[in-house]
Amino acid sequence: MNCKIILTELHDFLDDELKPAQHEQMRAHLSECDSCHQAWQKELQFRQVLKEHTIPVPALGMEERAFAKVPRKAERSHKNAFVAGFSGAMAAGVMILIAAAMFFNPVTQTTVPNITLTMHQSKKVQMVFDVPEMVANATFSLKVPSHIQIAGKSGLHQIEWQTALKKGKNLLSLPIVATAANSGELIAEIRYGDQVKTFRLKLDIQTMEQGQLGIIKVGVV
Amino acid sequence: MANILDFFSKNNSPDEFEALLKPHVGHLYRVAYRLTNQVEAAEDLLQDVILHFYPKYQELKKIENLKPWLARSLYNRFIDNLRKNKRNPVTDAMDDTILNIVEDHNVEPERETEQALMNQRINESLNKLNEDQRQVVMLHDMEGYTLTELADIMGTPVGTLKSRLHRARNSMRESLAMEPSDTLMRVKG
Ligand SMILES: [Zn+2]
Repeated sequence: MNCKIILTELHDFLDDELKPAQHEQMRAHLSECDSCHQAWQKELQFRQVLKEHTIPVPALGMEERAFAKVPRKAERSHKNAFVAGFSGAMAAGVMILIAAAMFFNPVTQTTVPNITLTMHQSKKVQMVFDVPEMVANATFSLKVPSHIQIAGKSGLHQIEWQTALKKGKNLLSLPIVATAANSGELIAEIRYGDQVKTFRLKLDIQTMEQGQLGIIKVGVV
Repeated sequence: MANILDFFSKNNSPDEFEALLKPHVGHLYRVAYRLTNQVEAAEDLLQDVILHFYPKYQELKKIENLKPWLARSLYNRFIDNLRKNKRNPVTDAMDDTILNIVEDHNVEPERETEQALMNQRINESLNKLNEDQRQVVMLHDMEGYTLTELADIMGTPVGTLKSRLHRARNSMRESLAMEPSDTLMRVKG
């Protein structure tokens, strides 16, 4: 095999598109020819760079959201308007980041952040809880007013669940939608042992067909 | 980042359909992102194709190798949607920015910057490609699909894919200022 042929077949070799015999010939040549070896290494390096290209990680709960349009068992008899409406509005979804550093810190939240929702349009609220050390068993509870729906949980306005918090940032991504134009409050509570931490988020509802983009950071609370 | 939102799945009784597809959701998201280039649009496409699979559940159960089959359906769905509404959704660039900030906190700062810069450069070089080239380089070189699999997924002959790939890589090497292997060969040989 001469170097010209090697060159033309280098890509097929790297793409694993060569027949076994050709592949072996190639391998043999690359091990004894310096310039082809170098070309091969260059190409490998380039491919490695491509392989390391990363894409944005979706917000947590993506697996569940993926099934958002599929009717749930209990809801199959009557297609749930909320679920359908919710998914449809996702394209216009907006994220709000609430960075809530805290936990064992005794200082309480001083300002209540607020977000504006547009009626019938879902919005993802991203809350980041920065925890100084791992908590194996915390109880989270969420309370929303009756005119606020939590994606996939229509009709439920208070949810409580057990979870582990890892050291560092923990994300709670909560897609919500408003069904009436009253303002209200979302209350998130974390309980651990005898400690309770409460976070409030004021929800203003607008009726206009206009989404809003905003990042809200609640500093150390 | 740790998931503190397990409750989404907890209260829903496990469903055969979901159980069948769940293992593939992560990889389908990646393909969807590669096609749409946006987190929200990728999730939309994913939801859309999963809804589309739902009535075909019995058929789905019989398929031996689901991965490429699902990817092909996703791809077809993407193309269908493109044809149906030539709309190009406005990019909500903030989404990705926020998520990156949130997700990257564990990476060492130096490595993070280096990686972010390279990622940025790659994004720019990807943007210079045409859609066909972009798709094949992303699905082949980045997501690891073989040409044979892609020929099936995209309904395009291997030869065509190879030449798209070749052009895409050349263009990317150039914009990334990476010496192509054949230039090196010409110099040395
Ligand atoms: Zn040689």
